[in-house]
Amino acid sequence: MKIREEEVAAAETREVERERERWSKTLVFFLVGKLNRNLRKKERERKMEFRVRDYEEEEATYSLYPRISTTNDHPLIICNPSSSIQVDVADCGKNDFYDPLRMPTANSEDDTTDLDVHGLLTITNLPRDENPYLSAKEWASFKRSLMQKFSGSKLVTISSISDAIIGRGKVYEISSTATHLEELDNPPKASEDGVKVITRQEFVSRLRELQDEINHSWKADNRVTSLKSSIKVARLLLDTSVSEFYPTLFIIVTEVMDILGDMVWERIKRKAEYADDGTRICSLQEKFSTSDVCSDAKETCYNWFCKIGSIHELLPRIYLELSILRCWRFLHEHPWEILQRVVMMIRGLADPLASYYCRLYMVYCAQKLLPPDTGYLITCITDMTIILRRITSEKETMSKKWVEDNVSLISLLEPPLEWTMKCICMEAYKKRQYDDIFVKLQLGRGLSNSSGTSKCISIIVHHFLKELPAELVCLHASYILQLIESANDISLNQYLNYRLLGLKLSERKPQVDYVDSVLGKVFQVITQYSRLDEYVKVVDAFLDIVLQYNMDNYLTIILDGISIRAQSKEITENELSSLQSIILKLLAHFNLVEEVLALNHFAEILHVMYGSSRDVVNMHILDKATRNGYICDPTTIQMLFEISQALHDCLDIFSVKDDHHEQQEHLISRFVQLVDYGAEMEHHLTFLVECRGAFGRISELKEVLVRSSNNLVMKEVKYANNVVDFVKSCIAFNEVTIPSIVSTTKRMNLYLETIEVALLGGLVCHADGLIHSAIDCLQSVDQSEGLILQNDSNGVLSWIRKLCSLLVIIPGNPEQGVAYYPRSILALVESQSWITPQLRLRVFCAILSLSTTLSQNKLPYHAYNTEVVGNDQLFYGDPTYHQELEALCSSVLPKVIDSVLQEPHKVIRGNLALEACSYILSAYKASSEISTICAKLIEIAKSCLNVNHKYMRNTVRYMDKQLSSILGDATTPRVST
Amino acid sequence: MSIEVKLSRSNRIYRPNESLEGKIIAKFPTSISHQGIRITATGNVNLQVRGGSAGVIESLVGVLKPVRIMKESVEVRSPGKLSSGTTEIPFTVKLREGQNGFDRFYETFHGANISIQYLVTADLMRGYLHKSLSATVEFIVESKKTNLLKKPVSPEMVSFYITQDTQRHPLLPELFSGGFRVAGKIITQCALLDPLNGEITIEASAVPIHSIDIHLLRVESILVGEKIVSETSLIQTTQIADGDICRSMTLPIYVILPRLLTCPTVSAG
Amino acid sequence: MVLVLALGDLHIPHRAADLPPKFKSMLVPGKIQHIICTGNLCIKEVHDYLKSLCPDMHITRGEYDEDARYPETKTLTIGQFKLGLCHGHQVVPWGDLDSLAMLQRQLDVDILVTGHTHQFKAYKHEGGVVINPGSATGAYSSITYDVNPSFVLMDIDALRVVVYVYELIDGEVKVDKIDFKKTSTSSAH
Repeated sequence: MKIREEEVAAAETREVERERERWSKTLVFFLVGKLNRNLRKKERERKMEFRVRDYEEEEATYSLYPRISTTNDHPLIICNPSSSIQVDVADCGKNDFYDPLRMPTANSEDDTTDLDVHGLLTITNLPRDENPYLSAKEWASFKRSLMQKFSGSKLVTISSISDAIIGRGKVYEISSTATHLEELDNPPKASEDGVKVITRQEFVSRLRELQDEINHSWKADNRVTSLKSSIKVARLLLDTSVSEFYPTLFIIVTEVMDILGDMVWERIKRKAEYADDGTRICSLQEKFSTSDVCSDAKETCYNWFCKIGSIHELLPRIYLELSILRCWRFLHEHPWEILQRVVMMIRGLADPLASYYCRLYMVYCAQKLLPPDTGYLITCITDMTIILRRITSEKETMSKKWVEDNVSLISLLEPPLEWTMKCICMEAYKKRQYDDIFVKLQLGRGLSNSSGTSKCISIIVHHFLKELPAELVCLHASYILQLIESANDISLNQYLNYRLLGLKLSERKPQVDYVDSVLGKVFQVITQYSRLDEYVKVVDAFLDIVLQYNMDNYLTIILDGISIRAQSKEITENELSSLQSIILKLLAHFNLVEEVLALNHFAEILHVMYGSSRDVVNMHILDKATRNGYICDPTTIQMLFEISQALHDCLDIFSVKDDHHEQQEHLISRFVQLVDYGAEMEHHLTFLVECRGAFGRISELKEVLVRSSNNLVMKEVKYANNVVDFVKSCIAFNEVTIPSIVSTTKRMNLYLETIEVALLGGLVCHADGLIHSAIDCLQSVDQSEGLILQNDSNGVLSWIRKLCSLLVIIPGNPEQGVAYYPRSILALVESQSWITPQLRLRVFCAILSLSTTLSQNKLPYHAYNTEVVGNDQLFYGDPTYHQELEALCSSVLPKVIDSVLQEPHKVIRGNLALEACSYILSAYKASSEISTICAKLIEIAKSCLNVNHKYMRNTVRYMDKQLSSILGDATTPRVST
Repeated sequence: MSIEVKLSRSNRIYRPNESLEGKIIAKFPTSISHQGIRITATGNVNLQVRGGSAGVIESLVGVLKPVRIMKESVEVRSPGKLSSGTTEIPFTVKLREGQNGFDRFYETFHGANISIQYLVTADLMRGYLHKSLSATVEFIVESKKTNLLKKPVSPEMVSFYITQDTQRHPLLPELFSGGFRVAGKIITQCALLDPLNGEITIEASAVPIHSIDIHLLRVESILVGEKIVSETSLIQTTQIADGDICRSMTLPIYVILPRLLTCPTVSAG
Repeated sequence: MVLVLALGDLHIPHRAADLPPKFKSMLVPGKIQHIICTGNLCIKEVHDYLKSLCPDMHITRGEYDEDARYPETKTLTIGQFKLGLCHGHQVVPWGDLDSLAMLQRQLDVDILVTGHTHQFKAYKHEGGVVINPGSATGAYSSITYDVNPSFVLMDIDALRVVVYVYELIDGEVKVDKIDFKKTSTSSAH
């Protein structure tokens, strides 16, 4: 049945063909007689006829049937919302998201906190860690941060006290009273040696040498020398004259002390475990008792303490004892009882710096004794407080210099304080009770007796608060608030404590009414602040809570406050970063960027910002704005446009392209992309024009502009009636915009897209112009992009093929002829030297396909616009049209085999031959000429490829089928099912 | 060609009625014959002149001979031959109390004028033609704690005050006018092995403090006729405060007594 | 039973902001074993989204794809079927059965999936099957702006394939089902 239809169709077509032939003949004879000869030649060639296709028929024949509507039964069916699929989604979302930073919080949120009636806080779910003390790792990182914090001066002034470093120091002897008193009268600093200046590097390397010396003499059994050298090293800490260098010095010295301590510990331990002749006596457990230690080892141990005890000067004596503090475990059943005495001994160091760092080392060494209580730490903090109080409370000499000196001193004292506080809170954490500390640290004393004589020191409150778990801070917030209020001195600006309170409260969610009262008090204080810096730092910390509890009144106060304080004032870097943080929090809190932009004073605050913070904020605003789909509100668009402009203006300041820039450009482009004026398409186009003017430096944006304008056309054509003028403006906009794009690839793609859009908009003339530009653009590939790589070559082929398919719907220009563009393309591929045989062949094949398509009575597709008439209608029955196409192909066909043969690579050549063969078979009706050409191509393929090659077999089979009509008509009619 | 004495204890401390043990290490390139090897432990109390300074005690007792409080001698090898190479000869000497008319050993002590010293000497006799070889090592005698004290020292503390008025020596005028007050307490009795404990508090001081030192003084005295003559010498200075420390803060006094330079209060002779 | 999601021509963000929400709610991770995508996604975010639905993803390059690493054509085997993938803008003329058949012979595949025309198509031709899933976002195509969003889900089970066509028409998802079996292609002749 079907076959007969086909035959009938074929017969009909043949009939038509013949008709057309005859007609054209008459025409030609009638017109120009002398072309007779040429024409006869053409007639011969025309034995190669294009295959006739009926696309509609094919569509109907080959479409898969039946299509059964099955809306309620398919694999992606969505059950009701509570079904497992929904759960899956949620779970997957959760699992996919892995943020290492968020994990601990997530866990700690699961922590259960039990409060008993007395308000004693017990934290369950503690890590079951045997050793809750701060680890060696933490100490190492603490030391690192200490080094970094005070790495200021490169030069070290060495007074003669550090003669161990200079190298010609006299060996220290126990001085007689007389010489010692002399020394006191002539402080070493003033001695004739004077001061020497060496670089920090030299200093450190000298110290390392000393360290090696200690190691060496130890190994040479010269332990007394080791000890003497160690004392020399420890004495370096007597010199606090270069205070910024002190922490570094401390670290280096204590490292030496640690080494000595370890060596002594190991030696005594060995003595306890092995006899003189090396036989093992016992092995000490981790938690050994003094009774496990033999008297010989004890003797040696005691000897060490004796030797150290005979050191005259206090500071080296303490350091040395601390270095071997652990060894008290060999002698003492409760070695930590020693600590109280050591803590008190440190009181003898009057220099605040020396004493603070000595305490730091003590706290560090004490950890190794695993002390069961925090008594010594509490004493430590109390002593530190007394010293601080002395520094901070000398009111009568409040000169500026004095304040500055003390502030810098306090900054040096801070790390030991911080570490000690950390240890105390660690202990408390281990014991699961904190209330005790409040009492022990006597932090509450200043409050309970309202005389206020012993106010808290603010830096101590600060570090205490810092170490306190957030849930406790929440629980005692109003108490802590009082603490902060009472502590106001130069050691730490009070606002920093308010800020810390805010941060701590934000970590946990306290109860609403409670928060309200705390916030009320805090704001009472901070509204008094006149400095923007302090104000923003505190409100930044409390902003999270304000937002979390939707306390809009406070938000209003905050924004008002900022705007008042920011007026008529240069904003500093610090303030900028706080403002940045505040704005980012606002952006993160609100769902829509519009809500943020509409906040009181927001624009104002944004305006006072500048520099990179401004950029960051702008970028976040744009990012936020472009997250929720289209942006339709004109005011928002205007504001975002200004923000983008500000960002764009910064782009040219730095000429270097980096990721940051790319991100900015991308955000601006994305914003422009998402702008949607809805029905106001004229406005939209105006906006695009503005953007082109405003963001000229962003090449990515130009692509967006063209695409947006194309989208506008599509929208206009789809929904509006009177379109031509607007479409014209859009296309014209593109015609101007595209050439300024640097990348050929993008230019080419946009040309092709705009051609399509122009056609869909019914603008044939514009489409024509654009095709010209596109072909010009292709021509420029070589010059603009230099070396042609495989990829570019693929790109060029893909454009040409696409262009060929596009030419199917382009109405031919009667003046230039239908073959005008294909010939331009051919000219291009034949003229450019970089075009490979492979590429050329494929272009030939594309032209063949295009020609055979154009020759059909009904084209496979048309532009979806009634204004654009297809070639099949335009040239219906026009013989010159067909002649042109045929002539085009006959010029191409002979070059096909040449191109195949030019391909140097054997396998590619074989494949190309098969490809060419397929195209020819598909384009032409079976004929002897075609058969000859194809046979030749198959021959080439066979010479290059394996006979069993799948493509070859497929092609040969196809050829047999196609050529069956002329080859085996009589013998074996082949019919496909 | 040498001999060497090595004691069994590295700290060389022995108590009365214990055995002094050790070995003689002899190293010879060739084998030698000897006329016996002998080990001798001696203990002497010396009154000595030191450093040329003419002290009171020196002027009185400069001519006194050492008092022997112990002598023990043992032959560890009868005459014979020692092969070449290293030979170790172990020995044991019993430290018996109640010899030489002294009912007990005094603890080793190295004072400025008086010292109590114990030595152990190894002698290798080689007849006329060859020089005898000998080696000497000091060993330290410490009393057993139980001997020394029947019961632990009661923490007997003495409180003290130091003010501008308590000082006998002349003071700086500003110190005198401004005044100062130091309070403290210290134990007056302790075992030698225990540290000297106490505490001190600067209650007031008109001038800044440079340093606070604790001087450990040694008192040596002898009986001359009916009179006791004493000489005091400084044996250790321990700094307990460096710089102008906070007032009213209690500082510990903590001094470990230097073992060889101190001696429990004894009398001998 | 293996589910293969075939889709393409999303043109995000150039011609559409996102996939239709109704499609998105149907496409959940864990259901689909393979994704084959004809191209024109066009940006990385879309790639990542698809990857989140199913990590086994095969993509060919459309002319607007940013990622130049996608190949022009790709073949893969699922069960007993050999599948070929190509965007289709390179086919002259677009969507032409003969030209597609040529590609199918070249790739030697049972099922060829191509796009570009933004119209769902399914043909059985010369013993092979050609499927075009259409545009998943309903973006305008080279020749028309009248496009319904659509994609295809193939349920491959031994020699049988059920093609589900999801099409968004006037805001409603319409699902059609087409069934076909593999016939041995070579031995017929």
